[in-house]
Amino acid sequence: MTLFLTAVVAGIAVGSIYAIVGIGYTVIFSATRVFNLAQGDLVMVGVMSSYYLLVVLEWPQWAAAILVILFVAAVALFEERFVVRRFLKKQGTASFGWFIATLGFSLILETTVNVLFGRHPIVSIPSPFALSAVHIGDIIVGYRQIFIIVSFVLIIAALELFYQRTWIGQAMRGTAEDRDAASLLGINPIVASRVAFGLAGAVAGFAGYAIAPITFSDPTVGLVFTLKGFLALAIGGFGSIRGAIVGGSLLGVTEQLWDLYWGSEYDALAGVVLVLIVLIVRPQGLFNTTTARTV
Amino acid sequence: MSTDEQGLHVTNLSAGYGRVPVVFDVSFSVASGEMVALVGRNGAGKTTSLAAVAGLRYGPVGGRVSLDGQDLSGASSDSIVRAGLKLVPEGRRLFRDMSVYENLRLGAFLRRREGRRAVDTDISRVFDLFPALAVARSKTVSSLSGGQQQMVAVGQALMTSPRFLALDEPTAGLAPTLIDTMYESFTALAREGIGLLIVDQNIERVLESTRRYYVVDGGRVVLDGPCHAGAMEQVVKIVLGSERQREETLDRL
Amino acid sequence: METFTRLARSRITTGVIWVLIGLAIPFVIETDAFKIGQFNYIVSIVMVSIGLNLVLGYAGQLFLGPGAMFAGGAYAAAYMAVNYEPFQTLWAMCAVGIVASIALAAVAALPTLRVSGFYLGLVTLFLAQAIPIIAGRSEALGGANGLSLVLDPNFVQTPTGDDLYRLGVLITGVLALYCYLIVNSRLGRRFTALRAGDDLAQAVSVPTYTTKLTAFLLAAVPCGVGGAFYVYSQQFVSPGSVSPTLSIYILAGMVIGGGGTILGPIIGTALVMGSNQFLSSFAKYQGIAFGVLLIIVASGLPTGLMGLAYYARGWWAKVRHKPFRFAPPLPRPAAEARPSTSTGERLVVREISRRFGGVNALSEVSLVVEPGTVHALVGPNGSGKTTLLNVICGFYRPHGGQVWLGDRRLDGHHVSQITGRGVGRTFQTPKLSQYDTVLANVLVGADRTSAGWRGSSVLRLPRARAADRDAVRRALVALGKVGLEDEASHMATELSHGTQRLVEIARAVALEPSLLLLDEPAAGLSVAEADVLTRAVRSLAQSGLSVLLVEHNLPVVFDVADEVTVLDEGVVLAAGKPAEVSTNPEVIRVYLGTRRPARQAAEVLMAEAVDEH
Repeated sequence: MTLFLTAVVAGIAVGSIYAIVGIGYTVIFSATRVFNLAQGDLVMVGVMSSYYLLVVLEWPQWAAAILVILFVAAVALFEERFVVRRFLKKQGTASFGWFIATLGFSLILETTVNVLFGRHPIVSIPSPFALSAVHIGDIIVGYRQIFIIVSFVLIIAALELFYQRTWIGQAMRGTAEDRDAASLLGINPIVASRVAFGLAGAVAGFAGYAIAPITFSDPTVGLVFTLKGFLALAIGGFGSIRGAIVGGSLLGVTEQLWDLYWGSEYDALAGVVLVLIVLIVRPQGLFNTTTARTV
Repeated sequence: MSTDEQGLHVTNLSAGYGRVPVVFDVSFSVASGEMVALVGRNGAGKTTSLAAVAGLRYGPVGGRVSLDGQDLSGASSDSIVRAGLKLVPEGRRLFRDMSVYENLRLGAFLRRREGRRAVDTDISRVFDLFPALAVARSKTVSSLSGGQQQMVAVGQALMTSPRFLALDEPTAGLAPTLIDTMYESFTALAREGIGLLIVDQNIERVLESTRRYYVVDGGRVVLDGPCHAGAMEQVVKIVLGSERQREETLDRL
Repeated sequence: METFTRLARSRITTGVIWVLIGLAIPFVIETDAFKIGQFNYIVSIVMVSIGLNLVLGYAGQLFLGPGAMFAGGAYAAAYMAVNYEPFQTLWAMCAVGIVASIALAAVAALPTLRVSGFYLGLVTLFLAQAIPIIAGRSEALGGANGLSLVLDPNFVQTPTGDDLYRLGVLITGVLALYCYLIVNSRLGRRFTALRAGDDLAQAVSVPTYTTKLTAFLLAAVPCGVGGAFYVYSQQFVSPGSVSPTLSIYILAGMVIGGGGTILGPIIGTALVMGSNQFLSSFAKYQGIAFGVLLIIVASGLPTGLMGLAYYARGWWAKVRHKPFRFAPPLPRPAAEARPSTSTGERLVVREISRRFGGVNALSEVSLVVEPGTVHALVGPNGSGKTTLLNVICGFYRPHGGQVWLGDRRLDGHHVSQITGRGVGRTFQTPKLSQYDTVLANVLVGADRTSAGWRGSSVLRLPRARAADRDAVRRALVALGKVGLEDEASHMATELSHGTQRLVEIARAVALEPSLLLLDEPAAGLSVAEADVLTRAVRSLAQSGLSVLLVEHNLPVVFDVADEVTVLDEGVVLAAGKPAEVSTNPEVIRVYLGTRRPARQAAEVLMAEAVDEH
């Protein structure tokens, strides 16, 4: 039982990461109708730049965190301007152009990081939480895991507040639903996509910083995040932040439990099996509530 | 054409969808506080003209648009709204998953710096104009009836503090009494100094309320003038008549 | 002589020339064992790109993880070869590779296609990423070191080196032929219809789910062969050789070379993998270069290098003042078309209702269309005319009432079943495949009534070839009915809006329907085009078809209709002959209002119009 609960908590922690990637997609997709296949690589850039700042330059934690967030947001804005914007002008073309373009950008990110850093095995990136843990009953919960879960919940709450309460957030919701109607109200759709990418980049950067100490600092990990984030949304339902959270948690927990009971040989399949089950039973995802079409 | 002229002036407008030209040469003008009708059969180019004027570009656009002396040709849609020209597109393009209140509020997006109180005052003015909306304030737009949605669309447009309103089929699908209400509110808005350009397939209704009219056919303005008794018959022949009737009417002019 | 010129110009000859070029390379470039190994590697990846092209390039379905099928085929072939001696020949490994690849494709596609092609694309990418990880952890698959064929001393690789390379080139040629045969057959035309959009595909009765699945399973074959050839030539497979980045490189190759052409992916992938292998000093940075190329091509040059070549040929032809027409390899039309199998049937719409949210779009609407007549459905905007058409052809289910065509009930069936049973429709905005000529667009409709199994068309069996030639002739005849035979070899996108409308009608007619549904066909047409349209509609009705025409334009209605039904806000306001309906006061009110000036104007209008008839 203890093992079970430990696995569940670990799964929720890992799942939060997937959820954050999924939320990054949702933010961009809802404002631009583009599915950013480089999203996971943005997280990876966050991981690698955290490594660089903390281990190589030995910066303090708070400074590294801020710079990583800003840097990845800048990379995302770069992507918006040079990779994605040309596709936003073409309204309603059912082309796969932007898929391929964002995949191309993810290849660029992966290669650039590879060139700059090569591959490194896990290096102990200093963390403010060391390896200490808290005991709740018989379960061991790491401080780092608590940090991840709590900070991600805060991020999600902040995003929800942003979309519900601020002018720009509401303007972006409007743009997501009907671009023309929004521009007829003076909302510049280019500003909306810039804000979306900037937000998604900042979120990805923070995620990279948060998980850096416990992840392989390896450039190919970007694609893994991209896919896991997509699976989280496929399970939980596109278009809803809550769906991303539920989907991500389910995915993370399933993986941990699979590891526990069936060993880690085939655990890479856990996600695919789960999503196939969900697709058969409830194709629109568990939480899909919006009337907006997804892809 | 002097650009110091007051009012909305559209000259030699041309527009299309991608490579397909739809509007070839359309010109019209609306003075402050004036109500003007734009009629024509389906596919004549009315909607495309309005969209082009409002800055929604689906293809190349030519011609000149000036608003109270300011040249808006080729301007983006958000700068056109900022200049004071607001299009209410056909089909009630609202944010369906958001509430009435949120939709109205978002209408004031460009004026958001004026502060919450100014925006709320304007929202209550919209409720004064359309009392039926006040009770539905927190309902999502997708749950409203067609008539209520149309009211939200007009109300949202008013939140932009427009000087000119272009309304594309504002009474489509509404019951006759609601149509009367809508036109009464349009007249009230005109009295406050807002210039109105109305496209309506209900020719009789729109010609009754407006001072002047333009008939668009095949992407051009073929007839225009003040609304008087004889106008109705000519307009009807052009818009709904057979080829022969159309040509006869046009030849006679 | 004529056969000779045709042969000389045919694509098959081009293909043979390229194969010869490929075979000649080892003579031209000095090779050692290592280099030949690299060439063999490139060849195996090129094979995979042929499979990718079938799904993504021709059928337009997202397929992001070709590496997954490649890996599946490679590992399966390696496993069998290492453990069972009979499987150590190239042919046996290819067979294993194909089976494994198809199995993997089925597992990925069956559940995901029901939802959308997008999911399928992402799941394949996920598999491409998961398979190396699983293989790396699995004892049976050799763990991190992979499986090596030379472990078994009985394993003898024949042929080797240069000969193996040439065999690889020939196999690639065969796979390219495989792709060519599929793509230019009745089945392949279904793929291109799918690429143009699900709506269009359903309108010509192409079942979307099974066609997508077929494309995917057929594509698994070259991927599996590529995997097997890889293992046989490199003599090992490991997780590192099937990394997920490989999928992106294959995608890059296809996109840069030009998807939707036979040669494009081959050249593109050869270039990409070639630079990967041979420009080793550059290797570290090539990801950046490919990424940039992908972005540029995706946004500016969707047809890649082949597209560039096409433009270049067109420009060169213009310079020499010669006409240049893109000629797809369609069969020559038969001398005469077989007689049409369709007869008009009676359409009965009985008390159909349909709601959207709280709005009654249709309330108990009934009408009847007799064979050989044109029935017009008119009414103001928003009255429900298009909704009724959508209900009849199955895009929407009615909430009440029934639709009968002859003695068959239509409501409740899926769109492609209804269009397959004799209902042809056009859309308000014409939906045509922009990559095809006018004739090719109409042909996909004519295909519906070609007899026989589609596979026989792929195999070019004699009966199928005759059927295909007949279909081409029937497509030309359908174009003739709307006066467009001379435009048959123009690209669909070059035509004016009105002419595209007419092409859509020709395509619907080519389906040999019993009922034709036309959605505002006259909107936006010039006077001359509207004339052609009304004459075409009249002659179609005279040949026995039932025609239901939605129109907003009253004069066209008077010209063409035998019966008229007037809809207002989802309710039937009036029905009958045009003359009766036009003097109906309710109709006048709805179009023009109630007050005196309007009524008088309307009465004058209608009276004159009726007089003209």
